[in-house]
Amino acid sequence: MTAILRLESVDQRFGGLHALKNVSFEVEEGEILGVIGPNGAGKSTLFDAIVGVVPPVSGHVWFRGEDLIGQKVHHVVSRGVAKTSQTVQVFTEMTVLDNVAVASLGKHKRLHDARDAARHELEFWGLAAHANTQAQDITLAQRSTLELARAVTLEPAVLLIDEVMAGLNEVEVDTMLNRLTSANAERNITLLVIEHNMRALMKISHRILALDYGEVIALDRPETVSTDPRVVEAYLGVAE
Amino acid sequence: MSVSAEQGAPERPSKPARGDKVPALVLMAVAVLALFLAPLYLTNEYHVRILTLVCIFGAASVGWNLLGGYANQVSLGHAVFFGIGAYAVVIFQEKYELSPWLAMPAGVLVSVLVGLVIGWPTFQLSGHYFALGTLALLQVFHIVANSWEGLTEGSAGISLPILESGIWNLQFDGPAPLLYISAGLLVASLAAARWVRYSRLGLELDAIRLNPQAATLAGVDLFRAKMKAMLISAVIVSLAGSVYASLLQFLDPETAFAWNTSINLALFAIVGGIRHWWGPALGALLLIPLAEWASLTLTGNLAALAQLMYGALLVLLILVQPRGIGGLLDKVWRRFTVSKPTESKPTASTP
Repeated sequence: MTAILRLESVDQRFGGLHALKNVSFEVEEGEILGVIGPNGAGKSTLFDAIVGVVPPVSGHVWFRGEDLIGQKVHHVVSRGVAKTSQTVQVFTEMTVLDNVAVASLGKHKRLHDARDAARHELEFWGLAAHANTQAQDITLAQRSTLELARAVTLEPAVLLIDEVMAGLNEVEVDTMLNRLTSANAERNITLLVIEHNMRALMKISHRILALDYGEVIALDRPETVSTDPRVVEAYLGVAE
Repeated sequence: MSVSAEQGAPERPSKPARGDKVPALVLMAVAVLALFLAPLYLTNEYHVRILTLVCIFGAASVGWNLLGGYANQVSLGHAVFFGIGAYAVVIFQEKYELSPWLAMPAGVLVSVLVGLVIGWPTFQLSGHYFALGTLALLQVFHIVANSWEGLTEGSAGISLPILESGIWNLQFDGPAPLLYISAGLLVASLAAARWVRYSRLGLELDAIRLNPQAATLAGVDLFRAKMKAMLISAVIVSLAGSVYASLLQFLDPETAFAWNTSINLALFAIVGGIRHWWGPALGALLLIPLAEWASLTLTGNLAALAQLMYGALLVLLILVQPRGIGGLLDKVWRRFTVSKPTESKPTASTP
């Protein structure tokens, strides 16, 4: 396995808050890396820093030998690193089809071709029947799925997924897990997944990265991380 | 589409992407036909002139809407392009005795260059700051026009000499020919606006309007898309300004770079509906005659009342129907065509 993404001393500060402290780790090509940590640990901040939504104050993010830091978000996206947002972000007053078509404009010069590609993508995610519905008229689970479909249409090599399962019921979570693993295996997309649903995350992740107060406290196989004393302490707290 | 509905939500029959736009197109064709026949029926020259103003400002507002409406980048500086187009005509015709037809491309060229220069700093701003930034630039042009007397004759303004009447000089004996030219401009602007709306640029601008951050994450180059919209819109507004100068046969900095023009371009679009290519034209068609009528019927001490009523009416409209008449029609359309999913509607996802 080779590293597809390598973070080197990524630091993020918001005023007095040191949100990411010297974060360095490697993501291996083809893996699903789960990202865990208590609220405020810096998980979403980390994702925002990688794609440049909120660039870090220092550090490097190496992707295929190129530093992503300092590049505009749409450049990072076209290089092959995409992200979905913690709060579902779809274009509400736009059809489901066009929501995805926007993202395939980069690969298809003609709008007609972009829509065809989008239609194809919707079938993979089970949303084809809603193609002509406005995104504001579908359910929350469908909108989460739609945002993923939009990101995957970009044909990224690495996809950062920020809490796509929040608010989904058990059945919907299982469907989502199946789709994520097949996107990873069949379409060869390396996944970084932030998730509070531990059961779901442990099931699909090859490795788990644990963050606490902006620091990496563990990076290992799921069963090892879940028994790591520092991780347990971060989640449950320890009596003096 | 052969996939059957797998969820409980009944789907409205799939239709071509432009299907529901056909009625708008038919209505527009009827309106344009009426416009061209109007001079035959309107005996009052004043009415023809109002209709001409509707066409000129309607076209300019349609142009404004490409950036201000489609992408929701509300510019209050678009009178800059209007003024440049207008000044091109009077400077060419008064100083060099050159036809307005030669001035128009020159005005367009300058407007595009100015658009490129304006876009770079102002697109770094968002929301209200963008509006204020563009408004500030308008003031700059106003000051320059006042001070650069060698070119604009300053605040005294430029009156066009009376030349041989005809299409070449855009001076006519009656009001009808200029109405036709203005109507032609309006139709061309509408065609351009409609083309943009359903192009890939239109989709990108729609994404920017609805959620700029999601748009960048979807790979849209915000700066590039906004700049394209700015330049197309600059061309249209500049041409409208040129025709306006020919209508007035006079121009001073107050008229050319009026903040009132900027406000009106935005207003017509907002009242008519910014999501639609025809919205701004509809807004101009309603508001310009209304404003003229109010200022005619309420004179003397009541003149202030006319302004007040006009303002109150607009405030009321924005409060009741913030998406304009186009938005109202959308709502009605949706009520008839979309059946909501059976489960309760999930909470809004917009941040």
